Amino acid sequence: MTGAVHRLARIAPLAECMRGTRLATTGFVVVTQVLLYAELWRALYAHTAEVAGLDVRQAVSYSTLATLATTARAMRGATGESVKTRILDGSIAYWFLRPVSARRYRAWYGVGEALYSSAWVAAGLALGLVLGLVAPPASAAVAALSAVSFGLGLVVLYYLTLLIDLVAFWTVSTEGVTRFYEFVQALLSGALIPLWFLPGPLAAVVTRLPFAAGVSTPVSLYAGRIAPAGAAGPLAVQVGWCLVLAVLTAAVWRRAGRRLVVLGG
Amino acid sequence: MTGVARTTAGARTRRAWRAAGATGRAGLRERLADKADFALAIVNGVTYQVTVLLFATVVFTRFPPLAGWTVGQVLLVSSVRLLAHAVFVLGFTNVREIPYLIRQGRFDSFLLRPAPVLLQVCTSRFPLNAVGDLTVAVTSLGVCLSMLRLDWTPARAGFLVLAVASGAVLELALALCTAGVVLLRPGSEALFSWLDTVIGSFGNYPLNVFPAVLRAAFTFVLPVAFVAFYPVAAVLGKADTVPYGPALTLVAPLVALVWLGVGRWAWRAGLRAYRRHGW
Amino acid sequence: MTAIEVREVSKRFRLRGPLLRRGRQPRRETVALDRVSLEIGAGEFVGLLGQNGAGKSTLVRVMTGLLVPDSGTVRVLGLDPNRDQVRNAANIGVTFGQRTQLWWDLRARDSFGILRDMYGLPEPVFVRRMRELDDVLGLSGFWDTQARHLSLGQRVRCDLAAAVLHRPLVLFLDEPTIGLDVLVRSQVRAMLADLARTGDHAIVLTTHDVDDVEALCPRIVLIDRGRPLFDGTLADLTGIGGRSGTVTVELTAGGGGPVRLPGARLLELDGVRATYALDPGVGQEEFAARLLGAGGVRSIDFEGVRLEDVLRSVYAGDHSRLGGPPAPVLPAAPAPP
Repeated sequence: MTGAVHRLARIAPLAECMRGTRLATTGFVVVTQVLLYAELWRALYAHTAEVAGLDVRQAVSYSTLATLATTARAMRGATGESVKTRILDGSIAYWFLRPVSARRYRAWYGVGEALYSSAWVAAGLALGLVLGLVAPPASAAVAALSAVSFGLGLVVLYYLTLLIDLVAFWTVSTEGVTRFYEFVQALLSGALIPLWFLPGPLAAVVTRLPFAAGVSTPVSLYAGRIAPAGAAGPLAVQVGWCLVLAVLTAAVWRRAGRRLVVLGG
Repeated sequence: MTGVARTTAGARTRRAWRAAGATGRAGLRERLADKADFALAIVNGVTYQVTVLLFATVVFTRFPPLAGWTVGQVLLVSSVRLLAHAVFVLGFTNVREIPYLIRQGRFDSFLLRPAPVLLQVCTSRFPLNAVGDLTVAVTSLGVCLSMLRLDWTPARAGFLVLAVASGAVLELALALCTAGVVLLRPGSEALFSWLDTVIGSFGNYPLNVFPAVLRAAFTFVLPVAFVAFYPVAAVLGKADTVPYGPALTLVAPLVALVWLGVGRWAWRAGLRAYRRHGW
Repeated sequence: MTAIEVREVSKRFRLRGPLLRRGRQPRRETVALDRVSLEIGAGEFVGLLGQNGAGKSTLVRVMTGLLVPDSGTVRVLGLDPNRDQVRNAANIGVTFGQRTQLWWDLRARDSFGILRDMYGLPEPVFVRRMRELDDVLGLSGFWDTQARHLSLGQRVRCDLAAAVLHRPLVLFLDEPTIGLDVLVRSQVRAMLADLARTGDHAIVLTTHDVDDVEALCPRIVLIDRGRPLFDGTLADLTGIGGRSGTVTVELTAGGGGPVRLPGARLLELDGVRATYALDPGVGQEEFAARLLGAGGVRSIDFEGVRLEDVLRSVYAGDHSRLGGPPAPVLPAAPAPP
């Protein structure tokens, strides 16, 4: 019924680009983080050629990609469009007074966020290739598969972030939750350290969690840790998580709507 | 006008503290009002610290002993870092919440009240997650000290306490610097979590493992190494192994105070800019 | 045609106690709405009045579908505003006082563009409406400013424009003029009066600003402790309030003019100056005609009753002449001897 809902995807990129400071900060954070982690891995590898089947070049590629994939998102904080900020300034009610449901609205907004962060990843990847931080993909198949997997990862990350954000309907404050999530996600998604470095049983658990489907899977595909021939399984797991999380967030949205109805916006 | 003139600095401070106490109690009561919030906050603190520890542990177990430091010794660096962080969270974590306080409109009302803005920010909400942070930090420190079997002289114990204190002060100073930048340049809020990540990821190791660029950066630019590494080297009696000379192991409190001065200056500049141009 | 229909709506709030209770505090409950019924027709402009905490906001939230009543039903243009939230949204426009729906980082104009996309307005229609709204509210001076940098008056005007951009047939305005300067306030009023003149909008205005109501609302609903205390015209409310209108009449010297007349009570007679209090229901013209008919009158000065005075006396607890809730019946009152 409403014609141009897809245009809501432009909100997030538009807001990001409104301010030079924001772009500069994101650039600063991404670049410093990538370089710091690259240095850290090089230092750790100073006395070893290979750890858990990964050499220094792979480790640095991995770390760079993972840092890019996680840092360019979730930059908005207090000024972003989220349940949390809208509850803080008391304007969440408007989300429920428009001909686009809150859930759909947030989803289109999320599409915009994902596109924006993908642009950063693409730019960072290009720069990383030039600087030699990232090894080029082994083959066209690897490039294609990791791109698909990256896309699925974005969906998984969207749902995870959304679930955390929706907690704001129930708790007074979510700053703890958000920070905690940032860190857990950074660790369990494999953004800080490749998941194969974790002790065996822990790694087995962690690789099955949705966090891994967000970052670890696409980056592992790219870095060659998962061979294209064996990609079907991990990709299926990603799809599975997308579906599970979609159902879960839908349920939470319904309860959130009811919660709003109880509180009266 | 004599009445105003007679209001001593002491009385003003007392009044400020009373105001802060009142808002702090209100903040705590507000936090306790929501059971889910309460539980979540504590779980957060625990999980945050555990992830930091886990990362560090993975690195120690996967890679050969780090630059002549044993696992127990490196763990002491991490533990002191965690404890300093927990102390910081207990007192000052709300500094990181300033963007949200502004969005909420509360920050503006802080500017109007007769109490220091920083005090009001810090007491605006009781940091329940500090309880979780503290628990993990204390546990980790206990485990690591029992591994190390140090003989405790008063000097060593004093160094440890001083290490934690200056670590916390340093973290506060850096948070204030960031707050100053954020108030001055809206849109730079991401620096808060950047700072968190950098200290959380790089403050846990002996500085020796890093290449020269990072050693210099973490000593002279962003004082990450002073949060735990240098003072812990003093506690462990490993002062002779640190980069840039053993003297640095003793100056952590001094560095912390200097940075606190910088933080104070940045905070005031930020507040001035905020009052003038808004956000 | 009925635009809004509220039938027997009740809503209670349970106040949640703190986790750690100090002493023994009983769980408390407040009745926000108590069997409220209300019908608002298309083209009506209703002022919803009441003290703080009287239940106004709760009623607005129920009517906008943000809150589901414990009992009773609400229909807005035939739709249940909560169950049919999305479809209903196209019919209604809402502003909540100080709460802005603009996107904080974006220019106000971008926010309007987003709303255009949400409501599916064709570009030419959108451009025309923006021009019209600009004419009345003077938006173009600041619509290229980011929402966060707008002054309160600018933001409120933008929010008002945002609420009416899609031409909703039902409009809920919560304190639209709070904190505005005189100039902006009159702009906002002019715009609302324009809307009212089209005759097909139903507008509900919640406000504490009596001047707004006097200027705009032919009909007033007064809520007190969750009950509608009064529902009628402004004239009725001021007519039956705690104090009726007074008339000061100057008589011709030595003329032996009228002293006692039907329809008014003589309050004071001071030489040639007589002051009357009009009886409820007696119009000014009617009484003036009577005075003039009696002769010997030099001048007539009517002093109206201001809404503010009425509200003050009602809020202070004087419901005597509102014909509101029935007075409590005392059980087994002893008959006077």
